[in-house]
This record gives sequence, C-alpha cells and structure tokens, in this order.
Amino acid sequence: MLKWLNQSKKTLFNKNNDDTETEFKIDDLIKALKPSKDFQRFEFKTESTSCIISYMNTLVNPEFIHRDVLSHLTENAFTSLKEIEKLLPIEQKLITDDVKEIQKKIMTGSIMIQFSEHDSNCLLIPAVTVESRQVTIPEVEFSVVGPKEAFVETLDININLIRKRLPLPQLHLREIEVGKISNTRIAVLFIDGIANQENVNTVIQRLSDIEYDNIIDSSYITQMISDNKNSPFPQLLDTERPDRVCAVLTEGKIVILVDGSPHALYAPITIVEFFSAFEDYFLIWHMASFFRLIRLFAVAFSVFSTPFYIAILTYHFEMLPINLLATIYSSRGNVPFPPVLEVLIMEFVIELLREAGARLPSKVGQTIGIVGGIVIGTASVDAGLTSSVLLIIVALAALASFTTPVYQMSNTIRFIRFPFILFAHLWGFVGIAILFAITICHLLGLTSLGRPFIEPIFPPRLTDLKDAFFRMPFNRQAKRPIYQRPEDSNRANSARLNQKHDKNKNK
Amino acid sequence: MRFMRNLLKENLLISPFLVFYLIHSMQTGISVLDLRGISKSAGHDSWISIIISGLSIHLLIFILYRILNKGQGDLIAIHKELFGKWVGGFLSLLFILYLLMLCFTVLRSYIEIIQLWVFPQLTPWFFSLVLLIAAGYFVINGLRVVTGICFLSTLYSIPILLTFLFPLKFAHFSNLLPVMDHSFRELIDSARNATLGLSGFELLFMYYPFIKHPKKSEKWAHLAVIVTTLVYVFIALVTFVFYNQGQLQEILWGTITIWKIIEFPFFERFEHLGIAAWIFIVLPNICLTYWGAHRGIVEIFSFNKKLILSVIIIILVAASGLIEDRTSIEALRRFSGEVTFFFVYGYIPILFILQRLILKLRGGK
Repeated sequence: MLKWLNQSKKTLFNKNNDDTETEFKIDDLIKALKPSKDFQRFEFKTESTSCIISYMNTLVNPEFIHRDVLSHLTENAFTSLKEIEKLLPIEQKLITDDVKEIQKKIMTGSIMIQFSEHDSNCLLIPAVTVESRQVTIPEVEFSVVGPKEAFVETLDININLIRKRLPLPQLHLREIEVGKISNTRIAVLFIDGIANQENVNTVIQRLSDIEYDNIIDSSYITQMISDNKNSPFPQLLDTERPDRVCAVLTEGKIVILVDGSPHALYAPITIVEFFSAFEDYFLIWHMASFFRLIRLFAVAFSVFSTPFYIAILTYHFEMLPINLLATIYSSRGNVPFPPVLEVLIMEFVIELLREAGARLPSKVGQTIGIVGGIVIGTASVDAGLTSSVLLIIVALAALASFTTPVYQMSNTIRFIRFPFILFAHLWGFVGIAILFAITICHLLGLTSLGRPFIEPIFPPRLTDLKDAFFRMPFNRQAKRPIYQRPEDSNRANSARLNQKHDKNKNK
Repeated sequence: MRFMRNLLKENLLISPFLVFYLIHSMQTGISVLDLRGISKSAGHDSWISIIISGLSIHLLIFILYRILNKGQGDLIAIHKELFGKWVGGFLSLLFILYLLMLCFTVLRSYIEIIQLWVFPQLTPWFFSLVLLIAAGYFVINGLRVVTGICFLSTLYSIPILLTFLFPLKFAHFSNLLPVMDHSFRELIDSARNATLGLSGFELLFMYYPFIKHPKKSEKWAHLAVIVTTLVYVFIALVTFVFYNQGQLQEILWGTITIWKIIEFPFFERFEHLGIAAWIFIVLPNICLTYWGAHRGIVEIFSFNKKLILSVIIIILVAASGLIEDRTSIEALRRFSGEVTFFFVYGYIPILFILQRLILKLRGGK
C-alpha cells in the first residue's frame, strides 16, 4: 500500500525531492493537466503576435482575466514575456522556467502565459478566486458577552482576524507546507520577545517532520505533533475564537493555524486551561472563579458519579444511612440487574442519544431529544429496567460533561468514565482509587511541548495558581504564566498596576 | 566522583523543596494506622516517645547529609568508592533487598487492611499484581513522576487528617493524664517501635543525586521530619483520648476503627472511603522503595529496565501470595521494624565513621 502510494506520487504528482529523478518538463505538466475538463489552454492571437494562455478555470476569476489581462494584451503590442510583464498592472507576477514552481502556481489559481507551445519560460499571474464562508458568530465556544467573531476555513482571513487585534510588528508568522499531496499551508504565529524561542523551534520542527499525504483539519495536527500520541488527553488546545487566540499570544503561547480549518491550535497548555472558558475573563473575578470551580466540580461529578453508584450499591451499602438506603431500595427494588449492568445500559443509551443527535440534521435532532428524554427515560424506569435514581445520576453526569468549554476535553471526560465503571465493579472504592492513581500517573508524565501538563499542581508553582482554579483580578495578573518560560515575564508593571488603583480610592 | 551528576539531565532533576514531600510522604504510611506497637510499653505517654524518635531522626538526617555531601553520588556509588566493586556491590545488594522488604511490608499490610475491612475474599496476589503494575507505571516514568505522587499524596492527606477531628467529640482528655507516668526505659522502648513509622528518610541515599541543589534541600528534609512528627503526635493523641489503653491493645488497626463514628446525612461508615483514599498514602511508599530498588539494580547490573521492573513485580506478587495468615504479617512487620531499626541507627552512623576513616587514610597516602 505504502509502496504503491509512493509510486503513484512520483508519477502523478511528481512532488519528490529526489534529485536523481529524470527532469520533469513543462510538456509533462501539460500532459498531466490536459485530461481535466476545467483546464483551459488556448492560443491568444492579437494583430501582431500571439501567445498561449493556460489556467484552471475553476480556480481563477474569469472577470479578472478578461478585464485586467486580456484587455491589456489586445490593446498593446508585445514581443516578449518581459514586455507583457510590464504591460500588466498586477503585482506578484513571475517569470520562471522552474516546472515545480509553475505547477504549484497553476494549481493555486495562477494564469500561465507562454510564447510558444513548448516554451519552458512562462509568465505566471495570480488570478485566484477563493470561495470562503462569511465570518460568523462562534457556535462551539459561544459567549454571551464579548466578541462574536469565529474563525473560518480560509487561512488569510483567520490571520487577518488576529492581526487586526494585535497591531504590532513583533507578531511573527512562519509558514510551512505540510502533506505530500494536499500541500496544506500551516501558519505558526507567536510574538517575538515574549514567546519562548525553544517552544517556537519545537513547534516548527515537529510540523516540518510530519510525514503524511494530506492534512484536512487542525485536529490532524493535534494528533500528529502531540508529545504523547496515545493519550486520551489532548495536549494542544483548539479554539475557534480569534480573541482567545490573541489573549494566549500575549501570554507567550504559540498558535498554529491550518488552512481549511476553522480552529486554531495553541500550546504549551496545562490541563486547567481546558476548564476555563474565555468568558471567564469578561466577568468580574470572583464570579468567574465561582463558575470555574463549578465547572471543575462538574467534571469530577461527571467522571465519578456512576462509578460511586456502582461501588456503593455493589460493595459498600453499609455506607448509606438507613433512610437513604430505603429510598434507593424502593427505587431499585424491581430492577433485575446488578448495578454495573444497569449503569452500563444507561450510559450506553445516553451515548447513543448523543451520537445520534450529533450526526442527525438539527431539525430531526429535536425528535431525538424527545425520544431519549421522555420515551426511553421514563419507559425504562416504568419497565423496571433501571432505577429512577440512576436515571437522574446518569442524566446529570452527561449534562456535567458538557459544561467543559473545550469540546475535545469533554469527549475525554465522557470516555474515561468507562474504565472507572469497570474498576468500581471490580473492587469498589479501592478499584476507583487504583485507577485514579494510574490516571494521575499518566497526567504527571504528560507534557505539552515538553512543558509539564498539570503544571500549577505539579510541579507546584504558586504564582501560576492565580489563573488556574481561580481567576484572580487583573491587577494580580502582572506576570505571565511561568511554565511556558516566556522571554519577557511581565505583563504589566505590577507597581503601577496597583498604584492606579490606590489613586482612585483617594479621590 | 561527580560522574553520577553529570549523567543526569537537567529535566530529570527535582527542585530541593520537593525533598520535603518525598520524605514526608515516605514517612507516613501504614504504621500510623496501628498504634499498638508504639503504645505497648509507654502507654498513654508514648506520644513523648514519638517526639524522641523524631528528634533522633533529625540527628540521623544530619549524618546522612554529611555522608552524601562527601560522597557526591547515591549509596551504590558511595559503597563502590569505599569498599570496592565486590564488597561494595554486596552491601548495595543488601540495601536493595532492604528496600524491597519495606515495599513488600507496606504492600502486604495494606492488602491485609483491605481483607479485614472491605473484601475478606480478596486474592492477595492478584490485588498486589494490579497495585504493583500501577506502581511500576510510576517507576518507569522516572523519579519526577514518583515525586509527583508524593506531592499529591501530601495534598490528599490533608482532608484525611481533618477527619481525625471528628472523634474529638467523644474524647476523654483525662486519658492522657498523668503525663510522664512511665520510666525512661519504657519511653525509649516505645520510641524504638516508632522507628518503622518514622523511617523512610533513608531513601535519600537513592534520590540524592537527582536533587538540583542537594545541599539546599537539607532544611526541607528537617522540616519534613518536624511535620511528620507533629502529624504522628496528633494522630496518637486523638487515638489515646478516644480509646483507653486497655482497649487500644485489643483492637486491630485502631485508627481505622475511629473512622466508623464519622456520620453525614448522606453517608456514614467513613472507613470504606478512608481505606480507599489511604491508597494515596501507601502508594508513595511503594513507588519510592520500588523506584529505589529498581534504580539500584539498574546501576549495579545494568540490565534492561523493563526486565528488572517485571522481575521485581513477579517476586513481590509471589511473596504476597505466599503469606497467608495474620500472624505471619505481624511477624513480617515486626521483622522489618527490627531491620529498619538496625539499618537506621546502626548502619548509617557506622558508614559515616567508615567513610571519614577510609577517606582520611586514602588522603594520607
């Protein structure tokens, strides 16, 4: 399979860095393009001379060709490519005989002008038209207050959304092309003088080392450049909000944008950032901290509630006070299954509903909610397949898992619940504790761009706790997070930041 | 003798203040749950014995740092430097066996607790297999991760410690009176029994080369001993005011029994949760001794790391399958207490003197 892929790559796409390979000529390129219906190649004759024009008509703007290229060619006489180049009032024209360059330009929407059929020298004029979506409001990371712009699938628009928020020359952009066939443009953004140069090099090194044929989305990149590729925990955070990206750029993080993906990636990150919504910064600090803590509690609840239910009902029922035991017993009295089976069935139902809801078009999706919530829920309790207590717990756990602001992480949370369920059935609380220890070990060993993943917790850094479980007020945030080793660690002069505050008080 | 330090990369090293957690979490383990041994001879005065034991450990840590600062390496390297390849290697091997024995004692005692309180039918070998694989996962990830669990264990132990405030409702403070009712001899006897509980600092012999600025870590080591001693004294006092001495001698794992009286509207019988949570107190003990033994064997024999890991697992699993009844576990704990006592109070001072003598003789040449 791989061999075949390599071979086909050589013959069809001819994107090989092999120097020993036979020379690839312009005629071969034409021959390869000819069978495609949208490849246009014609002789353009004027009174005195003629030239040959070729382009992919699905990639170029026809209006532009007629108005800005052909009209100038008919009106003026020319004898060489150089003269044509002077005639046309367009920037970024290029005369070259490098076939690889020509191929790349044609395939990204340039017009090729030759003087004769087999002339290897040609003039390339960019005439690209890019179809793209309008910038819309964020749907995955919606916030009630704050900016309402989200990234789109076009790299240049995305960069524009970032640049207009950070008008400074130190915002550097490096571009790399990845993917042997797709040649996807990947932009790496960072602020020079804040971002740690070592981190920048790591990102660029890892991106250039990617060996794959096509890169469709930024989530490909997440999986390919993660430190630990087998971990269920994502080690790069993806966001669709340009404002969040700008905020992390000024913290000294490194942002990766992939052409064709409406999500930006950034690193290095720590696990607590997955539980902080960007809206936290739009609210006053104590409220933001409160909501963040609620979210963290929701995560714990989501992972541990059903395993605890199994553990208590299977092994530790002495733990329930007598009144509570009566409530649970009356609800579970006619359920014929052991708790673990009961839980697995309900978790499976919830997962089914979620999958079905995610795959179906939104109009049909509403039906799923009704079917799931009312029909399956109440009917299964009435039928004695599950207890109503468990139904509440499972529904709450599912709800809690959706409070995580980052979608990738909420998937992880729903996933890691299942091993806990199995271990709870095996050894009750002791089993949960063992698996929790293993999870912690995994998290302790994880790194994001070589920086510890659960950083403010271990290695313990008190200064970074100011924006972890709590979001402290802005005048306490004078320092950038230290785990990413920024080159300039001061966000603001902390003395002046607090001084202003005092002046207001004295008024 | 600086070859050890040069071998270690910067990102493998740990900050000096983390030594606090390494020592503190290693010192708190199983023995705090069973105060029968400690209170046997000094009775209600044995909290004084714990303080005496703690003070003596400060002295030992002082000696330990003098040995290590001079040696610039771990115990294996020091043995090799002082006694040569064969004798030194043999002594190092004994030390590794000692670590494995500590590891096994903690592991088997914890399984015993689970058997007694939660699952009487538990198969010891299978449970220890799972626990050791979990511990092995920590060990293979290196000392940084092991230090991480030590740190987190210290954090988790704070709420667990708070649960010992509940029994104070039923406290009979007169149990502690009269103070100093026992002879000095009895106090020392109890202090001797406290050794197994308060030991654990000797693992410094293995992780010393991994500390970033080892000399700066000494104050953290002493602080750790102070905190551990206070925690021990606190638990001992709670236990002594809750039980009277006659009762305490009759009850197995008296500290766990205290948990029984904790009640909330939505749950009671806290010991089920407490025993499960105790895994985070036990795990640093297992991981650190396991790591020390593993590291030592790698250094002496330079076998494949994963091979050694699995061999250790097999040996410990087999051993925990062999020990069946309560009396042999009691005997095991008594035995490792004795060995620890002789190692800590006997071998460490002797090594200190020998190191000084040998280096002086060599220097004289």
